[in-house]
Amino acid sequence: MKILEIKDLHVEIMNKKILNGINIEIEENEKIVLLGPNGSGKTTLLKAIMGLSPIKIIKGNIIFKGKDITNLSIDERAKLGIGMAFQFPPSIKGVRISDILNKFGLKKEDFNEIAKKFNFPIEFFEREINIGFSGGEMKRIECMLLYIQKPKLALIDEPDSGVDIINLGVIGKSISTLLENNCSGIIVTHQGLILNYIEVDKAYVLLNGKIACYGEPMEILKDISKEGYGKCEICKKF
Amino acid sequence: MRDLQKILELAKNALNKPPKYGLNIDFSEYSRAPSSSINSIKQIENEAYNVGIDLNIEKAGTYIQLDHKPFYEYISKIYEGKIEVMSIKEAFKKHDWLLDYFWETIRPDMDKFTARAAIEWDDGYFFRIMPNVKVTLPIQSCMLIGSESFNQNVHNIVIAEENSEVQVLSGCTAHRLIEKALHIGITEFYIKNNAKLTFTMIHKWPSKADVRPRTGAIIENNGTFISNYILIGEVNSLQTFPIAYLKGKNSKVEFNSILNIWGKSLIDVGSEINLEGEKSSGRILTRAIVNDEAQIFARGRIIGIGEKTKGHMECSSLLLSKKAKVIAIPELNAMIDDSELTHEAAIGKIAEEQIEYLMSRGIPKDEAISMIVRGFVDTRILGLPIEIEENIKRIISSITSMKKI
Repeated sequence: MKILEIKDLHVEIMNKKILNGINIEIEENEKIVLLGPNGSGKTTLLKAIMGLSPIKIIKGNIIFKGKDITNLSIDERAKLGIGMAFQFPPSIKGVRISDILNKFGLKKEDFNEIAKKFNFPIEFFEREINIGFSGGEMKRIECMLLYIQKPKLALIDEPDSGVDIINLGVIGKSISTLLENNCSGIIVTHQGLILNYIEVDKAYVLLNGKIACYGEPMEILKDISKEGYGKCEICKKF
Repeated sequence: MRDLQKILELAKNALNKPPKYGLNIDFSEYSRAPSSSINSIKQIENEAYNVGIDLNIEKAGTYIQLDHKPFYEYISKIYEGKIEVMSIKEAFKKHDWLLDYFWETIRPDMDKFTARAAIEWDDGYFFRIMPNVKVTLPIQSCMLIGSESFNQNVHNIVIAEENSEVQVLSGCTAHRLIEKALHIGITEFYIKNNAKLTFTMIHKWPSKADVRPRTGAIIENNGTFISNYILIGEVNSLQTFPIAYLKGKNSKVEFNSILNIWGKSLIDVGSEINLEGEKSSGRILTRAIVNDEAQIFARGRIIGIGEKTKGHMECSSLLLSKKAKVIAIPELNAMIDDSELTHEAAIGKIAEEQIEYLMSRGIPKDEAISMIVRGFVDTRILGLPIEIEENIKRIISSITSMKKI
C-alpha cells in the first residue's frame, strides 16, 4: 500500500517558484533518499509534506495513507503519523527539552534510558531548546524527538551535516532503528554519510524543483560523487 | 538622612513635583480616610495567597499591613533574637539609630510621590537579619489596601547585617472588592558585608489602581542583592525605578522582572545600577508579555564607576496583540575604561517558526503558543529556591490562565 503520493506538486515561497510539478510515490515501509544541489528544493519538499510555512502550494496534492492532507494543519499531520527532523530547528527561550518529552507522555523514569541511547547526560534535557547547542547536539535532539514520536513517515533533513563521527553513529543507529520499525522515510543528505547506517530502497535527484532522476541509491550516489549533478542535467532519464 | 525636620522640609517643597517617568496622578481622586471593615486575618487570606503570601505554612516571620496600619505580625520561635520583624514605627521606638537608614537611599524630594510618602506616612515594615544568621525560611510581608479609593503610603526598611542570608517575599495587592487605589511604597535595602538578600515582590492590582514603588539599595563588600519583581494583570498605571548603589568591592545586584500585563495598563518600569565598588557587577533582566492595549516602557540604566566593573541588561518582550506596545530604553554609561557594560533587547510577536516546530511534534497550536509564552516567563531566571519558585510558578500560571494563554 502507498503511504505517500505526491501528485504534480507546485510550490512557491514568497512568490518564487521552488517546486515545479513533483510526482513521488512511497510505499509503506519504503525508504528513499533525496539528493540534489543546494537550492534544488529538497527541504522545500519536506516542508510541504509537513505543512510548514512560508510554503505555498499552488497546484497539486499530497495524499497520506489515502487521505488528501494538502490543506491539513501541521499538528494534524503529525498526529496522522508524519514526523520531521529539522535541518535548522528554531531555538525557543524557556521551553526545555523536558517540556516536549512531557508532552510526548514520557515520565521522568523514561528520561534516563532515552538520554543514554542518544549519548546525552540527563541534565541536558533541562536545557532550553536549541539555545547554545552545538551542531551535533542539535541533530541528535532532532533525531531523538523523531524517534520518540514514532512516525509512520519520517522526514529527515540532513541528519549528517556538521556531525562528528561518533555522533554520526548514534544518529545513524537511531534512525535505522526508527525506520526498521515499519516506518517509511524520506532522507535528505548532501554527502550521503548517513547511508552507511541506513538501507534505502531508492534515490531521487531533485534539480530545479523537478525530479531529474531516480534509481538504485548507491549507483546514483557513485555517479554524482564522480561527475557532480552536471550529468543529471544532461541525462534526463525522465 | 538623620534629620526628620529636614526630611519634611524637603518633602513639602516637592509635593507638586511631577515624576520624571510615568503618568502624573491627581491625588484628589484618592481618599486618605480608611474605611475597611476587615477585622480578621481569615478575610484576607486569599488575597495574600494570590500574591505569594501563604499564611498557613510556617515562615521565619510575617508582617501584614492593611491600609494605614499594621494588621498582623509574627516571628517563628526558631528565629527569635535572630531576626526582627515589626512595623517600622515600632522599630523607630526601639532603635534610635534607625534614622541613619531613613531616606538614605531615596530622596524625599525626588517627586510628589516620595514627598507624599514622607509627609503622610502610613507605617510599613522593618526587617532585620542579625549578623551571621542564615534564615532558611522566608520572611514575608503583605501590603494590602482594604478601603475603596484609598491612598496607602508605606515606608519599609530591610537590613541584612554582616554575613547574613535571607529570602524576603513581599506581596502587594488590594482586597477583591476594591476597584481603585493608590499605593506608594518606599523601600530601602541595606546589604552589609558578605550578606545576601533575595527580595521577591509580587504585585496584583485592581484595574483602576495606580502604583508608585520607590526603592533604593546599598550593597557593601561582597554583598549580594537579588531583586525579583513579578507583575501580572491589569493596572491603570504603574511606575517604578529602583536604584542600587554597589558601594562595596565585589558586590553584586540582579534586578529580574517578569511582567504579564493586559487591558489598558500603562507600565513604566526599570532599574538603575551604580557600579561603584571595585569588581562590582550587576544585571537587569526583563521578560515582558504584553496583551491587549497595554503599554510598557522598559528602562534600564547601568553606570560603571569603579574599576573592573561589569554590567549587563537584557529586555525581551512578546507582543500578543496588535495594539500592545513596548518601548525599551537601555542606558549604559561607562565612566572609566575598565568597566564592561552590555545590553540586548528584543521586541516582537511569537515567531511562527517556533509555533510550527512544536506543532510538527504533534502539539496543537494553542498549546504550542502557551508553551512558548510560559517558557518566555521562565521563573528559573529568578534564581530562587525550589519551594519559592514553585509558588511563583503557581501564581503566574493561575493568573495567566485567566487570560487563556
